[in-house]
Amino acid sequence: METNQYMEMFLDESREHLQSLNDGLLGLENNPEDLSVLNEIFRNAHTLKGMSATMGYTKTAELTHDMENLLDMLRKEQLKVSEEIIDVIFKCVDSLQEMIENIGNGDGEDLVDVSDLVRQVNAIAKGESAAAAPAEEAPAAAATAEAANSIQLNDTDKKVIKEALGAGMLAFSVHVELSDSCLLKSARSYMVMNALDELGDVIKSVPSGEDLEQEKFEHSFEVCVVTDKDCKAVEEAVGAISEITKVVATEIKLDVPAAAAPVAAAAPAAAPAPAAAPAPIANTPAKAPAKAAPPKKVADKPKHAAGQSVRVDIEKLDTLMNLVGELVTNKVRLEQIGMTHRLTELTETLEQMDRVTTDLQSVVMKVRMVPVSQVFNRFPRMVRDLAKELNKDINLTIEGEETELDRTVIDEIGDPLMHLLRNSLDHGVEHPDEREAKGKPRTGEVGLIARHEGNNVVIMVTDDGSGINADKIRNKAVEKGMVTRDEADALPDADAVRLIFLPGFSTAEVITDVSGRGVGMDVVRSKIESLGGHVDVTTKIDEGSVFKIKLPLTLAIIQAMLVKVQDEMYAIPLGSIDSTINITPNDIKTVQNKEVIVLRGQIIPIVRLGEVLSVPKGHEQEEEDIFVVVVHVGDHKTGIVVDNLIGQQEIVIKTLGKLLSGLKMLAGATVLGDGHVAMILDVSALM
Amino acid sequence: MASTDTQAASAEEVQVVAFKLRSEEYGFSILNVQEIKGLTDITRVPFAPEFVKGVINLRGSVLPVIDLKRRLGLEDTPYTPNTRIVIVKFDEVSVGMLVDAVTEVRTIDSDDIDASRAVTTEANGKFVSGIGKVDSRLIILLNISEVIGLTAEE
Repeated sequence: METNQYMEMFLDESREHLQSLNDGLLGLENNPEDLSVLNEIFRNAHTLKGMSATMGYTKTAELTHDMENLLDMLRKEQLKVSEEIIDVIFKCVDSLQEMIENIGNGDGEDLVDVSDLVRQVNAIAKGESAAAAPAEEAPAAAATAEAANSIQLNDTDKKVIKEALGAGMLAFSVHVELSDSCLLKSARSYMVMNALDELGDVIKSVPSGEDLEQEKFEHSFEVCVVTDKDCKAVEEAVGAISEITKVVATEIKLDVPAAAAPVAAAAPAAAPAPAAAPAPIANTPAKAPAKAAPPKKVADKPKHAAGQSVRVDIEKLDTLMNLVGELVTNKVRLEQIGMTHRLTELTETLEQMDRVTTDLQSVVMKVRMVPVSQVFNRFPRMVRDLAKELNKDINLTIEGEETELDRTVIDEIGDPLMHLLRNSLDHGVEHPDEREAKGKPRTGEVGLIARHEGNNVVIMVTDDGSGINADKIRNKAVEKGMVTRDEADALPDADAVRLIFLPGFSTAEVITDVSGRGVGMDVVRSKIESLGGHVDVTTKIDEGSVFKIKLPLTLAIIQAMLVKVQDEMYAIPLGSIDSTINITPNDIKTVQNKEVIVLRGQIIPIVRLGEVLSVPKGHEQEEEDIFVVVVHVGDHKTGIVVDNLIGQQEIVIKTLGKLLSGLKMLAGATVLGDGHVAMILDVSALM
Repeated sequence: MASTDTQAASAEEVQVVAFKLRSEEYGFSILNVQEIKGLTDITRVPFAPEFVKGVINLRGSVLPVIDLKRRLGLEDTPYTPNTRIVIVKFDEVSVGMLVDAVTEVRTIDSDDIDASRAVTTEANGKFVSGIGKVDSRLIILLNISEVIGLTAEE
């Protein structure tokens, strides 16, 4: 199924909606007059309908649709909320829950019979009482659930059992549950089979013996056995095997239909029941085809079990991260010991450990990642409200909300994005009339797009509005005394527009005076930059503007290039590195006393890291080869001259703490593999 | 019982970690001292205040180290095998203090602490919270928040 990749999301969201449906219904029960609760329930039902229809689960969608109809009538006060109605809706929710779980288990949605429920719902909608609708669905559901995991016997099996019974032997259906921690499930099941074989004849097992051998089952299976021993003996024989948590042997009596119940009861623990609904053993009619035993299907597919997520304090994750970092550091030390003392055994063990720590690190990293949808989710509502307020027609398009970012970034990015969106709506998109006059569609398009770009995540806020008038920005900046007239005029348009990011540019009057933007743009910028990101704007008059935010994937760990200056080690974030080149002293030219190099036809200023950071001179390094790390911030490039390139490495960023906060040119520190501390350069400050 | 005694007495006694800077003896209140560490590699931090020697790696976290002699305006001396880093914590900020040697943990009767600052110069007077007299020795008690704190204001 192509929709498979969305399965996890569908299930999670469905569960979430069902949960809120449940909560809402509870609220409604206590407070039947509350329309807002009703609306909330309606919305949930509606979303659920849409999602299941999209996923192609028509039955789920249909039931939700009927339920939605009912809710709609309540909402429009065509019906009064009564206990009966709430009960029926609750039942709908329960059935839906069951269906969703079945879907999650890999079974279809069809296993839950909802026809009665649908009848009930429709009956109420037509003004009849639900009681008038035939047949409660509950017992039916129960029956299907309980029948799960029981053995489906075909004619041959029954014949054997019949013969055995005739010979004075007993037939048992044995339900065996293995402990959750059991690793060698196949071995255990084999032992069970052996034990039962000794007692009598194993007629059948569900899943089949082959599947048991290949561990194609969860933790329980059924075996049908004929023996001359009694029920207790069978249970004891199997129970003696270790790692078996539960054995229930139930006698099979072919001629007494009522005996079906105990068989079914053997699997009460198997909830949520796969509800495979084969007819219970005893009254299996001859026509019941022994199609592939349904419980096996369950075992084949990964279970999407409920309640798999846990909320964890981000600080705990930070601690975990630190500990993993330390582990890695210590591992490197051990490796060095192994190397110096040539301890092959130690080195080999450490190689194993290396794999584990690498995995551990990536897992911890992943744990910290959350999709940007967490932030994006709140915007459609805000945009709708704001558009109404401003009397504008706005269509918000959101793309790439599944893009993942570090939790800490996600928490911080909301406000800046809100700022940008508000600006786009307020100052970017014009009024419908104005748009029409310009020959644009009345509805303005605002986009919120997230995507990966190398080691970064890019979030763009786009609009097809009026764009930013560079001249107005120039004037404003001059007026504010931020730049001189000459400076302003010398700026190309693209740069002039960037003046809006300067602190002090945006004040209350700017919002009204300038047809562009200006609300807290410097705040947006400083926020983004504090996250190690970068914000830029491109605009075209009457075509719109694009605000582009570039963020590092994570704040905690980055890829960095380690460089050496004299005896000091520094880390340069790989994200801002353009290239590393090797030059000779002759390649360095000067322009107005500033050193530059020419790289691929581009003139790039260079800085000597040792001088900039006033690294104490230990030894003079007049070599022929000069290493230059070319870094870029936006379109600006600078070459950083270093003594040596050590290599690329993943580093854990640590803050320098309160005492040393705000030091220029440093973005933090990191602990290297050998335990030394290295400073991380803030590239943008070097330019 | 012993601990109760100590606590009862603590109203009039101060426990200090005493250490040497050049030939003089100084002390921090033991309540602020987290641990004492041998000298490890200190990474220089460019643009840091002059009295900040650099940062060290303390079990995975990065900690600034203050050169206490420089902070107090004393003349520099080279490292010796006795050189220690005293990790102090004040107001959730942990900082290492580079000292020449840690001498002892000493209990000083508060009667023996002279709060007068007459002997200190104006420049470093704020760092001194008092002078403890122990036998014939003098232990200059330091005000940790001032020793650490000033950087935050700068």
